[in-house]
Amino acid sequence: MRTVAQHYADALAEVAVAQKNAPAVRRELRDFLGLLGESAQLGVLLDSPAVSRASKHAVVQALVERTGVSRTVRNFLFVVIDQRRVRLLPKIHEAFEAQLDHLEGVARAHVRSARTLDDGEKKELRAALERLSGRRVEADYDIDPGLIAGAVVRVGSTIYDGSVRTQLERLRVQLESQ
Amino acid sequence: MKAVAGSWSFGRGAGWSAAVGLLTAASVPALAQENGPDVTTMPVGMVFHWLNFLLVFGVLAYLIAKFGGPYFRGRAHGIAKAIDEAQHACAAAEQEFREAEQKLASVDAEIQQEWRAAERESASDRERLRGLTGSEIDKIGQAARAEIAAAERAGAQELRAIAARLATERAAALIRQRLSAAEEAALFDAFVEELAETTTG
Repeated sequence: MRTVAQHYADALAEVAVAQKNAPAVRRELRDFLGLLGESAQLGVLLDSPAVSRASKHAVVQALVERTGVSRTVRNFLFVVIDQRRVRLLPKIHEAFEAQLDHLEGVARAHVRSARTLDDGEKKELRAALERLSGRRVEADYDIDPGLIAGAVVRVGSTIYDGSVRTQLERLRVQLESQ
Repeated sequence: MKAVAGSWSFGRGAGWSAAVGLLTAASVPALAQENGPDVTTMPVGMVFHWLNFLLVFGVLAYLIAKFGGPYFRGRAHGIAKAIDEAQHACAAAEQEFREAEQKLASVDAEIQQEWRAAERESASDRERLRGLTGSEIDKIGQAARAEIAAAERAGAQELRAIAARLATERAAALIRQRLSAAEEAALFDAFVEELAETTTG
């Protein structure tokens, strides 16, 4: 069942892809949400029914002009404000990212490794994951010394575990069951 | 009717006695009023004296014969009846005594029978209890053996878990200590190759 946030996200993603400015829209929306997160007063103002629509538009317009946000994102923010969905913006952003990835054929991967990976290793891993998922992979990386060696990769809901810690855990279970 | 006849006979006898008494009492003063020698010492006096004696004796005999016979017969009859009743009572008492003896004899037999039955039941109860006790002992033994076996298995499992944990912890420490950068890179490459094989597979 699609949520309200999903409807807003899908609409923005379709517009962004159609106008071929998806990366810019993604970045601008992310920046605006960062601004909203930093200023609680801004969120209260945009969400308050006591403040008129025109005043909210004026505030958003001032911010847009200062940060150089595109018309697409500005109009989208106006729609969200008019429909009093400002509180849903974080969920809309999350769904927008996922929908945009889906439309662009992008798979997001989260990689945890026992040590810092060099560029060559990252490239090899990304290539293997792209072959595995059939989509372009955009990965972020973390260091987890608890893995001992190797790496753990999560793509969507799938986890690929190549860590020594997990192998030792399997060995421990096997020894216990003997 | 007998009582009426008896009273009638007694009345008639009393009348005769009264008449004889009056005659005697009337003759004595007549004889005493005559002047002269004492007639009692004379033969005629002696005759009257004996006649008077015979009359009194006859009256007494008559009265005894008349009323003494039935009285003594009644007494004898009452005594015989009492004796007969006593004999009957004695016979009944003897009969009761014999019945009581028979009952006592049967009570003894019943007591013996009850005693033997109680002994038999007691013996069977002892056997049953012995059997139950043996069964309970077996069950307790089996439960104890099962519990010991379970505890043994749990202990062994716990030991295995401890040993496995210690072994893997030691292995992790050794790997951290001895793993070189090249070996770690090789492990990572192997993981990437495994991913690639997964793709082709």
